[in-house]
Amino acid sequence: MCPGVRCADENTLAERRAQWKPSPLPERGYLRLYIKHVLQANQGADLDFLVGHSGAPVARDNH
Amino acid sequence: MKKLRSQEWFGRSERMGFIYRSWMKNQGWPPDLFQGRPVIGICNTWSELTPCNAHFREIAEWVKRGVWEAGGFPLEFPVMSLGEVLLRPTAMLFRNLASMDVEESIRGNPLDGIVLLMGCDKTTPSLLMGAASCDLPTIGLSGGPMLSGKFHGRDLGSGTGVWQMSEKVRTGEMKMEEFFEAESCMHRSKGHCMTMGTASTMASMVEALGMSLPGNAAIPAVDARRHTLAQLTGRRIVEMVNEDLRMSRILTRKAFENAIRTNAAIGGSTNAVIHLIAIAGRIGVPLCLDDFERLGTGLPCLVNLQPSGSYLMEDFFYAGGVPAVLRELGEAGALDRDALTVNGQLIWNNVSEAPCWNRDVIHRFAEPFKKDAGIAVLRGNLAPDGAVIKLSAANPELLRHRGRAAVFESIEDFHTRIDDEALDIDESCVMILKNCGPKGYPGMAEVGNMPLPPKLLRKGVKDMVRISDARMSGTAYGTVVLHASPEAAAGGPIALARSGDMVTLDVPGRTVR
Repeated sequence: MCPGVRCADENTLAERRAQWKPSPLPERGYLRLYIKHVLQANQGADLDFLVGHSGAPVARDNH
Repeated sequence: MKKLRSQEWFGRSERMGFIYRSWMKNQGWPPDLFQGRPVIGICNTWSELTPCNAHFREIAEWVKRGVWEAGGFPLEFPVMSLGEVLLRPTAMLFRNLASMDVEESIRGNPLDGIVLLMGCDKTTPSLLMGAASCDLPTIGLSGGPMLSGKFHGRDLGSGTGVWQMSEKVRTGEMKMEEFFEAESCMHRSKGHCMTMGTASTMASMVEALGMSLPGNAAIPAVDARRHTLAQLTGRRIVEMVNEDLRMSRILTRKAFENAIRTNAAIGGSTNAVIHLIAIAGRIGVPLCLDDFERLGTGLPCLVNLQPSGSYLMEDFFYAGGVPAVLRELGEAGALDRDALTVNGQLIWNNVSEAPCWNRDVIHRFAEPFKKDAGIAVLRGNLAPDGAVIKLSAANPELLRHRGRAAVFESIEDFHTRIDDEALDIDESCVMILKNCGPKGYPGMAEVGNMPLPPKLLRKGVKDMVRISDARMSGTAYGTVVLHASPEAAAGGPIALARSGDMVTLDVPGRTVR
């Protein structure tokens, strides 16, 4: 093994986890919506509120 | 027959009927077009900023021919077009946004049936996702791959050639002038990437899902038969409206299972994993990472295309394309033969006699190009919710590997340090890249196939284990573990990795820790 190797045991990991902070959300715009709602890769990375379907009902008249 | 949806606009007699028809007539449409013809929306991702889809106005004209012939009324409309090569920080950031555009454009307009024109990577899933959430009769049509790149007398594949050549430039084996010259040799015709990258993979997924007419994936963009397919697609969508053949009857669990198996057999992109799960989520079919493991990983790779092999999409077309692959899978019992496709036939009826003209390009199931291909799903304390690795593009010798981590906090951190001769890294190390996932990048960019340190390239090192929460281009290759979930920016444990930690990759045991 290379010199200087250290294994990340549970205590070390807990220490590192305590130090971890999430990045702040962007102030505005699509990025804010995306980061708030995007699902993780294993779930398809869709926005949580877009999953599913709602057919194509005809909406009410526009004028 | 059921009343057409479009007649809720055009079939009216009072003031609103006037409004819905009169402004449309400024385009010169005769009155009878509004009297009960199926209205077919041609959902077009044409854009000069999406070079792979820049020929789509022309393709749409051929679709319209078919729609007119069959008695429909074609109306072409634009949706947000996502070009992989220009859009920053990554086209993936906007896949879901484009899908919303598609969904609302379909639902809000007087459309009875939809033709989806798809090419560059994200233009395929975004259109399928949006259309699936509406569930009208829908047919897919891909724009087709480019002709094979040709450089100094040899084939040069989209993307794959870039990764290979840029490493040669970094080691001094290739001159900058040659690298520049290759730009116009790699991409010399209309169409999308002609390697089995994400565009070709997703076009193959469209075909394997039964969402297009047979042969959709491989016909080159410039081949006359691409126009023929477009015209036949236009004819068929009108019939589908008359049959009320909706997307939900095509996109069944069987269809997704066939797509997963096909992705293994073609050596397809890891991006297909994310896109298929997202499409299934829209139509309401349960699909998860374990389905890829269960259905895909026992299967061989049959198709000898870059980046897993050596040929290109043009060769794949001449060899028989996706129908020949589906036939092999079907004969080996690895295809659900009863999945319905958009032409109204079961998939097996479409492919059971599909010919193969070149067994070096499309191998037999019994004599595969690579055994045990597919996309393996790994779990462990670096990725408790899963990570993926494309076996056909990985180095078999690295699939069991233990090494010291060289961790990069971001892609900028990586670029700053990787060329530093003093960087503490050797070929046994495991490179880890963080903060490139969906929230972190944001948009989960294709940066997971990190270039190797120049000092190791000069030693002749060709591959190293790389792990990240990023994606990688479907044209890329290497022992690259991707999509580590949860990502670092969501507090996933990959965020806690530090340089010097020991990392174990055990692909046969399906773990990464």
